[in-house]
Amino acid sequence: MKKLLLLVLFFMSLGLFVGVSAEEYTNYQEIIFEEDDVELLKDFSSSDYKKYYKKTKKRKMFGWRLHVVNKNEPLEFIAETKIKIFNDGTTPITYKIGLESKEETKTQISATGSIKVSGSGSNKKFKGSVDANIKASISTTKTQTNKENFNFNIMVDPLTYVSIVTRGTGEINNGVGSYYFFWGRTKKGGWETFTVMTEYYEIIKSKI
Amino acid sequence: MKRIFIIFIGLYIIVSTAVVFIVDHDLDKEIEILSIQKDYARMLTEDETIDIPIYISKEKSFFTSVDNIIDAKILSESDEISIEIKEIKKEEKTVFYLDKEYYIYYFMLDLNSVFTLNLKLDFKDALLFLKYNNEEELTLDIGHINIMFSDVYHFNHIDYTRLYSINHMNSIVGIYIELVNKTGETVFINHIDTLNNHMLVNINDSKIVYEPLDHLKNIDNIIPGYDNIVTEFPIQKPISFKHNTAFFMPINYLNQFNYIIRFPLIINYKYNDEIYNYIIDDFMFYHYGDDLEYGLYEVSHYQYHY
Repeated sequence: MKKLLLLVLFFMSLGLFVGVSAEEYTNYQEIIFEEDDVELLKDFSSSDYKKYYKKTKKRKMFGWRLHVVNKNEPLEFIAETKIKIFNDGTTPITYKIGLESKEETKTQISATGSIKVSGSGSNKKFKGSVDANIKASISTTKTQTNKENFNFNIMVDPLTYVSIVTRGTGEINNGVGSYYFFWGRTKKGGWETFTVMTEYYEIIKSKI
Repeated sequence: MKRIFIIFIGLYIIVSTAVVFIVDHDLDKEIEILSIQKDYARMLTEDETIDIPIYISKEKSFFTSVDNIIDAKILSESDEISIEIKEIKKEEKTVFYLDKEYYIYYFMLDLNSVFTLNLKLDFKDALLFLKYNNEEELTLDIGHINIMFSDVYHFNHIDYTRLYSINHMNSIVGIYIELVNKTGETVFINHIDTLNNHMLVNINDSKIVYEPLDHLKNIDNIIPGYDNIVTEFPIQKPISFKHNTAFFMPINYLNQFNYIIRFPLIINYKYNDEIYNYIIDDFMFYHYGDDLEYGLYEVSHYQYHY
């Protein structure tokens, strides 16, 4: 019986080494935190993980034990270029640009190790019971997009690029978690939530 | 005795069921509607709409079916125009206001029937009037609407290469704009109109800057001691530029901050003794989520019983 239990724990522990799932924000041009010591989950080093997992080592019969590393840490970011238009003609052209703020950009999540992300678009969440545990440990600020039509007409000179760059403010929560099954750790991984509070838009026209 | 007891219990069940049914029925027949008083400063081309958010406590009702609307108008104390409701769009998510859940609908106002190039319309304290095919009428406070019909054409004297707002505490405190002079001669900017009557791009206090400014900045760090709030707008004096120049232009607000996030810039300038307008279409400078959520606007509340 004991051998069987060890075998189960061994197979479950294979889950500790499964890959990473990342979100759009991890590819943003720049993320600057108000506090210097805050870092993204993707920048956690193996020694960071080791240090943080130690905080989750208190065993329990079943369930997740979480450690919050960064809670509601404010940040500023430069996101992707929303749109880039090039007039390669010989006369000025008026372009109509339509922009919409995506709901799924507002709250994004990432996970590493055996913590997984499920769902898609704005319905993404951490897979399994860890989602409720994370939500109970942090309080993410609720944000919402609106669907107001945003059409913008712009006249663009020949051989000129127009781009609209998004900057913004937001907050981040991240940490690690360990799952215990009969007092044995069977899963562990990192988790992160990224919430956009305000987006600022900038127009840039540049010659080739 | 047993029979009396059974009759009594039976009557009790019938009466309480009837009461619950009546109360429920009455609650179902009440719809709460919220509108917010925003500032709309819009440069409209022929196919553009103005989208007005309306918050409704019931997901499905005759109010939100565009086919039921037989008449629509924008009204103010002195003006009135007939419009069409092009579409009513529903948001996927709901919003809570004073512990009540509301569905968010955008009423897309189509003003094509009055489209006249370069016409300006100013509706102070505007009302959206809607008449439905069941004879019901709805009149909603929607704020101030300033419109100019334009095709965003301009002469080739000036241009810009970079434009964004400088923000502090949910408001725009100024504009960063890199202006290009294509003429090789001095161009005079007389004034910049945003169409909004409560804000002014104050060129008198504009400042030439040599490096792009951080987009989140207290104005005191750009122009020490500057106050964005004024009791009356200063008369604008022309500023000139001959070469490409980056300006910080502070925004003045009349009596209180205004949370307008989208407006055009109509740059009135003089070149070679002629006056021209360079129009930058209404650009959404920033976006912070749902309008009701932040509590920045005055909310009007309507109850409908049927």
